[in-house]
Amino acid sequence: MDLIRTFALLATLSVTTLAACQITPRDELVPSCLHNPNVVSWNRPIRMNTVGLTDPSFRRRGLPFRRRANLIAVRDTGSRPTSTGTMEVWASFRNCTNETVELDVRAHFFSIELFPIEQSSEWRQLYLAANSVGSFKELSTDRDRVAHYYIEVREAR
Amino acid sequence: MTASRSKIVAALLVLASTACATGSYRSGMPVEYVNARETSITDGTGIESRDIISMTDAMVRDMLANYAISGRRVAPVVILDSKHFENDSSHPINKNLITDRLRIHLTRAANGRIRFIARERIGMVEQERALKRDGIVGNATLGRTRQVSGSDYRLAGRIMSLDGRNGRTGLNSSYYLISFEMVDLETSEIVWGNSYEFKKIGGDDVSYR
Repeated sequence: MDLIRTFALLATLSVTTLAACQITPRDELVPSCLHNPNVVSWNRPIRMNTVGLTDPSFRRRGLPFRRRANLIAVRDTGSRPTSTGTMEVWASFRNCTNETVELDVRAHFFSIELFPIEQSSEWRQLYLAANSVGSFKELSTDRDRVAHYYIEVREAR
Repeated sequence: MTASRSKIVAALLVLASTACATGSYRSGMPVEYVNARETSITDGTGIESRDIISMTDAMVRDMLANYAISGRRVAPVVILDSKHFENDSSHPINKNLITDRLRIHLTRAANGRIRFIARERIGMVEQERALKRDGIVGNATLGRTRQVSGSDYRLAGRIMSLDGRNGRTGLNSSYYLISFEMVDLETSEIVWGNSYEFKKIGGDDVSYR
């Protein structure tokens, strides 16, 4: 009976260890994957000049809250005027997984009063190889009124 | 008891077969509106609405950021139609879907930074000009000009494709490269160029009309 209990205990421990290995990735402690100051999560209020991850699945589950990492990290985002006065916005991403990730990314442009002055850009596909970085760039069509932007990211469809 | 059990099993079998039939053969399916910007169940490996919308949106934004086209103090006059936009791909497509969407969205977004002329409609314009000059109709409100407007630039482009089929799996693949160039009609210089490319793989045989 004791032998069976020992075996059962060992089996349980093995399964638990294996499961932990699966949900704890090698690059879990990469700082940019843990902390994303430029990111607005899907369930938080939108802030201008940031990047919003619209899919809750971008968050890696199964880890203690403080150590929860993102599958996709936003390294940086910003904007600059073009030679014709339109606004060019950009965001650079890091794939925090060991697999290729396909994203859809688009940008919204707003006036200083936060009025949506033009249609959002169309979704552009962005392929990020495992553990690699990639960038998204988009241009506004308006030149005089554009003041703010908001970049949206979702899983590719 | 056994008889009633058999009846239940038979009923379940009939229900299952009906469900399968309605799942694969969707005769009588009511028409529904779908988002033209997303993929749908009827999509094949050809150029779809989502590709046209994404492509033209990208080109509009890029042209408006180009100094030669939309940064000049005096707005250039542009012809943007499908006359010099060729389809060299294996896929039949109405080229006007691309050039018309491009011109319409550019006209709206440019807001005077670029002027477009309708060279495709020159016959319509000449007919009305002749009627005015013959005194058959009045001058309307804008008055007369000596000539029809000339143009600085004209859009040229090409749709190209590379197709393949895997005989073992039956999957088709299509790679598309669509090029856009704005040509100076005096010097033949290309003042702006961009391209849009994508590749699709699919197993379904979709016919395009």
